[in-house]
Amino acid sequence: MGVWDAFKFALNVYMLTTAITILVWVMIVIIGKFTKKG
Amino acid sequence: MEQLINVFPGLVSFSQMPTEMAIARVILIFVGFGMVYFGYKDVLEPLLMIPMGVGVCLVNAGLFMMPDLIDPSKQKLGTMFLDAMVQTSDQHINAMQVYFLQPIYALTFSNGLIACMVFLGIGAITELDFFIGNPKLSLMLAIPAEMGTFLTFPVAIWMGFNPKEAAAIATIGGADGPMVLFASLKLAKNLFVPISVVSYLYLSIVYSGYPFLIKALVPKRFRGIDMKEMTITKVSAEEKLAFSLVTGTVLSLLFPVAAPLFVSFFLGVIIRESKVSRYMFFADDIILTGSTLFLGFILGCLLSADVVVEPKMMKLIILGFVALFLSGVGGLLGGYAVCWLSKGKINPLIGIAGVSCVPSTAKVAHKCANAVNEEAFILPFAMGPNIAGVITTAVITAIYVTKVQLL
Repeated sequence: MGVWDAFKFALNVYMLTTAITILVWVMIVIIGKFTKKG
Repeated sequence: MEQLINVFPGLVSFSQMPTEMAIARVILIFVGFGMVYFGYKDVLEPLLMIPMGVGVCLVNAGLFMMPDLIDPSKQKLGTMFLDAMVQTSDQHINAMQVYFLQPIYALTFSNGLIACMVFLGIGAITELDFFIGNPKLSLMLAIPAEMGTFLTFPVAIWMGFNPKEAAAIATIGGADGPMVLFASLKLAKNLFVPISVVSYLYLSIVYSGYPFLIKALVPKRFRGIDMKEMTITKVSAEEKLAFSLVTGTVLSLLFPVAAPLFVSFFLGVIIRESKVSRYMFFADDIILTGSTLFLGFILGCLLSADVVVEPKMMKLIILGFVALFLSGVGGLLGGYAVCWLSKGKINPLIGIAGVSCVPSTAKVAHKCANAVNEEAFILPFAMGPNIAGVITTAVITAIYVTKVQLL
């Protein structure tokens, strides 16, 4: 694997992490709607 | 001479090994003393450095010629601690009869159990309020703080590591010991000792090292922002329980390879939130304390001279520094971004707390803010990105472990 390919691979991993992070945020918001507040 | 060998085989073992190994051995004994001393003085993290230092010191002192378990017709330099080279089931069974740490090593390191136990304990002491109360801010800060995990991968490839090794090394940027241990055990078993030792050494100096980075990159007027205008939303135990259960299930569904990590962390959180006091005591006082002790001690016992003279060690030391440096810079850039978006209401230092070394980086952010402005109390706000950092690090580790095996 070349350095450029490695960069693209790592960028792909990073973008996927960002997408999953947004999913986690959405889950928190949805769960917040269905549970009682503290 | 023969009588001397019989009485003091440890002393004679210096003459039975190559000179550079003998020198490295002596240096490591002093390194072990240093770890214990600086751990005792609180300069390095004492929970890990004290057992690790004792292990490094004694394992490098206690070498002698003994029968080789893999090939009993031969003799080799070894210790009575453990043999990390055994592979087959028979060799493991034989080794357990000889080496006193072999049962713990074979049954908790090879399968990543030790990392999961530490993670369970971390879950049990994790307060989710600040994170769930302000998830957008917390997660926004955790993402840039993974910059080291992202950029260290191509740098490691450039330095000659293969993709699996590079991915394991890159996880050091997440600054989460159990993740590094888990990733290196899954992806680069041949390098898991040096990677884990380098990672834990750096993590133990984050507390004293990151303030220099903060002072270099953040002017005083920004460091002193007190965040009085911000409020923390109260979160119910029910919400935290539901979040842990749903998120743990979804993440395990998406990344089955890393499911043990997610299960361990969220089980810890659920134990805490369900307030079963006997489980809480067991997870925190027994599992976390016990596994941290054996993790440090066994990593120390694995740090023998042959590991240090390994040519890749110097590269690992450089890459570990690069990973944590980039993550720290990324975190502070994220902090600047939210400071700008909030029109100066948010202290940019909470960005560095996105580097998930719980709770060290949050404490560093608070300490640096407090040093400039005594009224600045940013610790609760820094804990949000800190916990978000643990979750994003687990996610990025899971993605690396899953995707790199498909290459």
